[in-house]
Amino acid sequence: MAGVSSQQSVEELPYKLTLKVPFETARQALIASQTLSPDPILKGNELDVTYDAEDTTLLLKFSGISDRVIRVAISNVIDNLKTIVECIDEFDGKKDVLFEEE
Amino acid sequence: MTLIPTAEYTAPDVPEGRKFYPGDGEHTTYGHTTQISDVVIKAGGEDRDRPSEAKDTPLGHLRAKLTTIQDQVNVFLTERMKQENLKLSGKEEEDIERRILDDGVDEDDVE
Repeated sequence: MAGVSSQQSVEELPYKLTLKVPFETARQALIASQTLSPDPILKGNELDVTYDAEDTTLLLKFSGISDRVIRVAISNVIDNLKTIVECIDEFDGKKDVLFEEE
Repeated sequence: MTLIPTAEYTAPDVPEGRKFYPGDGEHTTYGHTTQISDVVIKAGGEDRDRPSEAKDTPLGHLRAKLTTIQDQVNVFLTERMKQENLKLSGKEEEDIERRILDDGVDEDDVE
């Protein structure tokens, strides 16, 4: 979970979007959640974002003060999420390799 | 294995909610709402941040479908923002008209 606002309750952020993203395994969903969650929410009184992994599904909940605020947040988070998905696709399950400095 | 992302939006004026599904169409990692502007493309500009193609794997397809969902949500919310701006500008015009009629303010005096 990230970005729980202290200045404004979620009830005062009426524009909401929930994104459900299924993964192949619960571990992948957890990796995605833990990778996204350190990203700080800059305006906690205008936006709240939570990241949760429920079994194999990543659950992203956005609550904002306006459509504009959640549009910016959602598009940024999806951009980051696509990078995470690509990394998992490239590296998950592969053997660790140590690269020697030339 | 098919991985299909979904989204659901609610707002005070959309209490029933609006759902987004990527659908069965062709999905790519190159989003319409995240690429460089049309003006730059028409001028022959090159998108150097163009994302890599989706691999033919469940996660590769998921990445492409996420791009479709991202486009759908961006278009939907941008349209709502435009409608909101139109409402606000209409209200401003109404306010000016009311001030002119009620208070006798000269239209030329209104900024």
